[in-house]
Amino acid sequence: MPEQNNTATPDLTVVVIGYNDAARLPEAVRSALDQTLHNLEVVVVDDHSSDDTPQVVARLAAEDPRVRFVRLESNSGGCSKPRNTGIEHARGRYVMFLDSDDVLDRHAGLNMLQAAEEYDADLVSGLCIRRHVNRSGLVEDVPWWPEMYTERRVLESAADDPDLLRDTLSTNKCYRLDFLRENAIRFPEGFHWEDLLFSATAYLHARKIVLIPNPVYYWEVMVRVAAKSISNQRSNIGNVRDRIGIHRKVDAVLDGFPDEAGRAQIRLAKAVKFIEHDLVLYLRELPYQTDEYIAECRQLFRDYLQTLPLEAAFARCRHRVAVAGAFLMLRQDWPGLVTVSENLLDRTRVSTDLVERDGRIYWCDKGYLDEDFGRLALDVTEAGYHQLSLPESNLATRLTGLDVVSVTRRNGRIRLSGETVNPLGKVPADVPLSAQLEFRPGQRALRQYRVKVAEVSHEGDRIRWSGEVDVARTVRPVGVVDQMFEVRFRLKAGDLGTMATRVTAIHLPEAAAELELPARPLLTKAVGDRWAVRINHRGVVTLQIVSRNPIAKRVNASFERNATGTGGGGMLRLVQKAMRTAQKANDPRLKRKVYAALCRLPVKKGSVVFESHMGLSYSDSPKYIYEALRHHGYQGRVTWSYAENTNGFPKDASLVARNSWAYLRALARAEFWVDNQGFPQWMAKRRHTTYIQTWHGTALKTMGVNTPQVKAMLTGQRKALAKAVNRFDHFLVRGEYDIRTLVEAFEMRAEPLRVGYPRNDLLLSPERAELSAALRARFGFAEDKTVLLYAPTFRNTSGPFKPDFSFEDFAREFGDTHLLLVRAHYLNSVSVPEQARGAVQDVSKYPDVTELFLASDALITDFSSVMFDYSLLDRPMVFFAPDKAGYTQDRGTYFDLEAEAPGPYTTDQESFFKALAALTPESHREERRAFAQRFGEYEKGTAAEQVYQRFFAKGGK
Amino acid sequence: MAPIRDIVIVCNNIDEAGGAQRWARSMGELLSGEGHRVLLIGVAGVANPHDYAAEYEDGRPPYRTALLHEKPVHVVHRPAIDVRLRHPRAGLRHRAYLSLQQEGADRLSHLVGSLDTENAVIICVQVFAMEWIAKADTHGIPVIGMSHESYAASMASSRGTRVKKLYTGLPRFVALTEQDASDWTTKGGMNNAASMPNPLPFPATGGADPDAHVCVALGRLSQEKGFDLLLEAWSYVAKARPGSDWRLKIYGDGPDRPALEAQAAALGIASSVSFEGATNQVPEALRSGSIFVSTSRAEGFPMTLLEAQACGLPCVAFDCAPGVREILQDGVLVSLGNTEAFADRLGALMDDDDLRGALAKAAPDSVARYAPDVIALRWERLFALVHR
Repeated sequence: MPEQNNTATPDLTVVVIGYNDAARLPEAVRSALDQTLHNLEVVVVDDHSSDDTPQVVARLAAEDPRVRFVRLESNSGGCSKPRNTGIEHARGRYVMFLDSDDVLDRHAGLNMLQAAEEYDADLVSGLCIRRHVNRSGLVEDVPWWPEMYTERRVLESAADDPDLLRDTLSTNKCYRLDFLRENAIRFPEGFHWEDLLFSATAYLHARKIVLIPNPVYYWEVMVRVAAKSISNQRSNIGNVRDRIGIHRKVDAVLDGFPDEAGRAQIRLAKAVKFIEHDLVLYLRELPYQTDEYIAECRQLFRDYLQTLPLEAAFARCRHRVAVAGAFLMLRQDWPGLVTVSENLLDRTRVSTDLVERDGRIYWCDKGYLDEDFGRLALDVTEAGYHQLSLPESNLATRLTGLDVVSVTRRNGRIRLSGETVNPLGKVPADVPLSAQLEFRPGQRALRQYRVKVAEVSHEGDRIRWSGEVDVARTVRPVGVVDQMFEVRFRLKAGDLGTMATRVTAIHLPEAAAELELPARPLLTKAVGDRWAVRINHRGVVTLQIVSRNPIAKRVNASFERNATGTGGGGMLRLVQKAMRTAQKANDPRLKRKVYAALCRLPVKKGSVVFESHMGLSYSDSPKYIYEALRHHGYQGRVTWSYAENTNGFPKDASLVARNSWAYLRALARAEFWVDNQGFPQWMAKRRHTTYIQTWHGTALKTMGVNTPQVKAMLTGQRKALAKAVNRFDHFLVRGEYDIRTLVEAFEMRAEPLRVGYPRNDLLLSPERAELSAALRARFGFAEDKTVLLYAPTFRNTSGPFKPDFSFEDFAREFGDTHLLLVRAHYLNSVSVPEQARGAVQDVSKYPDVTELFLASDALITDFSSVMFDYSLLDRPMVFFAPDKAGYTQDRGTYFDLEAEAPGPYTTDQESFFKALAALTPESHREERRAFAQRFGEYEKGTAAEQVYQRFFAKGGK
Repeated sequence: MAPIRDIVIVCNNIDEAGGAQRWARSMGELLSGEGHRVLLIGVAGVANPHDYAAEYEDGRPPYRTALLHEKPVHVVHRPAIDVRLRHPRAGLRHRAYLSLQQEGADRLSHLVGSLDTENAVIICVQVFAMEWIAKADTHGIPVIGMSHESYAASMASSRGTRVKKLYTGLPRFVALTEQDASDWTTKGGMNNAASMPNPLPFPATGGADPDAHVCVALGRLSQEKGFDLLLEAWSYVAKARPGSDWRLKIYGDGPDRPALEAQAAALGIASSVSFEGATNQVPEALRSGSIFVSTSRAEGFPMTLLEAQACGLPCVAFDCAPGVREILQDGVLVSLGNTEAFADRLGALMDDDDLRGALAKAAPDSVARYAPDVIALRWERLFALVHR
């Protein structure tokens, strides 16, 4: 709609700048003209383009009188001059900046204006969305600093939120024009990074700033940048100089900020951001640059770092490795900086020999740890690298040698050698080591190839290895889609598991630089014929296909043109379409329809689907029913569902990923469902299927209709719940108490199976003493130690859980005589401090709690249902529940545990430790026997057998 | 001085005795009172219209009304492909519905055709009516879309997707509370959301007696209003205070009444609970109590909480929606469904005369921000904004 009122002041001026971008400029201008705010003007500033920009803008101006055109006398080569010119020509009360290749959200103007007027703000900032094309060729929107824009916020000045300066863009903001003019705020001309200074100056001068959660600006990062090797990247030291120069200018502006306390805070926040963001950006790539670049860059950063409030900033930074980097930069420790850089390229990678001192973990020592400042800077305990198990770790593995063994027309045999760091003795010297090299095309591996590494040796803080591989025969790429194979290293250390990592190098060994080996893609040599060894943009050693014959050159060039989005050819569209179809195929609605159709197929006689805790592990009663089936040589088809990975699941069952197509098919056609929690609610169970719900614990906390959550449900939700529950045909109970609580609370129609829990059979087995001894030996528990199992219940939030007693204190008092096993709820995790290791072990990830029961001498818990199962063992129990009030606030219990606990009930560390010290195998014996009887009278140790006999003995019904 | 405007308010229907209609009628009065020319449009007529005209002394409301369809409209969705193949006539019925809808839209185009586009505003009260507005020619008059329920409630029904589809391009879309507007922005992907609360229907003058020892609840006796939970909580309160003279009065009627009466008897609280039936004298009913209680499972912008505070009642309510939190800034909020906690908090308020008196005294002032003139001013600013 054209402007209604030409004479009135426009509410908003949108300054659109462009240089030789006539193709995209109209889209940017239209995004401004099509705003739901009509009363605006668009000032297009052309940086003296040599294309037909003037004509294009003239056409736009003819269509809409709100467009004005300004052309610079000569090309300025940056964004500053055009934007400043825009400010000079602006007539609106507010002003925004838009680049010719980006677009504004349709409601940006109105949202900005409404916020600005409601609070009389000098500056309004909204969410910027970066629009990428991802690896699959699909458009992906990534918000810029989303944590700053989660809700509307009104700040009196930048001091209200010193972190504001993190968002340094100038384009996602709306400025009061008089504010810019009064304070002479302009873009600096002749520098890169002009946004940084402009936005910081505006923040620091603004009297009122409003942040709105609305997307306002779409930054079109459409052109996928082809991955370049770092060493090939032509980096310009001027870029670094400008960056540091801009930071110094911002600091100078900050010196004029009136509020002194605020000034210090902003300075600190800015220093933190500089270390965590700017320094990281450059440090990451530094080792791959030229020597001159490295020297000057280090000098620039060192000089600037010295002007910052380092002590306070180091203490505040959460990115601990970046802090270590800043410190090593100051100390001019180049080898140390290289290790930091290796970590910054992949944050999970441990690239140094960590040092432990007084229970803290440091990046390195080299004498730095003698001073307080060094300890502050190099402390990386929070990063948690030392807590990871070997399979979770990513130990830096560097290529040290590459030698050609033999190259013929069809063979290309090379020897790769390297070394892997071994910080804090992660890999002990006495475990058997074996290793593989793996060749893998990126994240989305179509195919991968592994070869055994012949020599692996443990040399204290390094693992050295060396092995041969015939690249031409071993690595068989498809061609075109997998041009690049990363080299990975997999180290298997006995029972500790396998660690996988990428092999890195800063410089390739000399033999590798010019090396080319024969390649044999499946799509024939028409798509490539040679392998070259390169270091990719993340510092990883890779094999890359190169084309030496003319056909392959053309094929690859055409594909590259299309896939990078600049060509926009038919190939790209085809690939994108295929990707979208693949995405649609995973649409839940489609899955529901297909599931309904599959349910019409006949049931597969005797087939059983097992699931435990929604596929999290192979555990609990379903596991023991499955083992009973196996014990009896059951003939029907047996399937286990897994959620994340297949670790620990039985090899002789067919394994399906939860919610996969195979999962739908298995469930639709199964004769039996066996599960302890619930198959997805939307999956209706057909009449011919028998659902055996084993459940996962007797209830202390109220359940079902007795909980606020269910009481709060509307009729529809209640019906959905009832429908899900009514799928159960049989429900395992441990005693009549379960019927009074669980069965009634869920208004269940299922037939209660009065057999007890299969998972508890072992606890009542006649051989349990032998079993216990065997398990303790397997776990390696010292025979003379009292083993305590601590199993607290779920705390309302998932994630890390911190107990209300100190593990260190426990280790001090009981370390010599006791061993504490900590088992957090499966939705929680726990971390054991270094000093308490030895006395305290985290067993949260061990799948089978029954085996932990057997291996322990006593149980410590609060409100967890493990107390009911453990009572069958007739071993002591201690209750430690310091937060009863908080815990029962939102949900009641069926009985008062404090009054009826079959063991000492404690609420603080002191009484808890006293109870532990006084514990004997006989304590509370009568109470706990009565407790076991009261809640589990049907537990006879034969539950799995009874379930088998009833349902599976005839091989199906 | 704000300009005189033509304001067109479009509802699904304007003749039922429902919440949206009440709101539209009171807005009609309020904006007419400010001097605007208001036209209330119902998409369709209803079978048993409420006689709104009779509520005015001269039998004539201060605004004009019109209907797009005289008779009730029955929606015919586009049948799925397999249904269309098996029953070709199902497709025809849908086509007939579409052409009926277009007739209504044409009538709307005609009704707004003569208005001055520089000053006129269309308010779409319910997203269903937006289908007609979208098909009509509105001559560039800005449209403000509204949602009269919480974000969560919208998303739990098909209205969520329809709001996203039909309201996205409008200059402004208003939700009932700031929190709902924020939810629509950050979770719902709507980028034009603002908030606009409902006005108080009568002046906030207080008048309830904190020493009457009566808890009062008011609403339709249906599952979502949660009276079963209220009785449960009341039974805890009563059990903890044997011989207390406190009583619970429940105003309203609905399908669950027999079940609720039976529940009260089963819980043994029948003697202290009375079912008063529906009332059309809401302020009087409220002023007969000393505490207002609400155990709704779902709400949008609960007017009864607003009205209760206007009458000087301290309130205890389940925290079931952003609207409750926004209205009840000085009341007692209990986590949804926790009847024990509700009983605890209510009991504490019953036992503490001083606290109750203080809350009662503060209640009318705490809803002053919903006074009709305050809300009318906010609307004026919104009208000006969409014309910018």
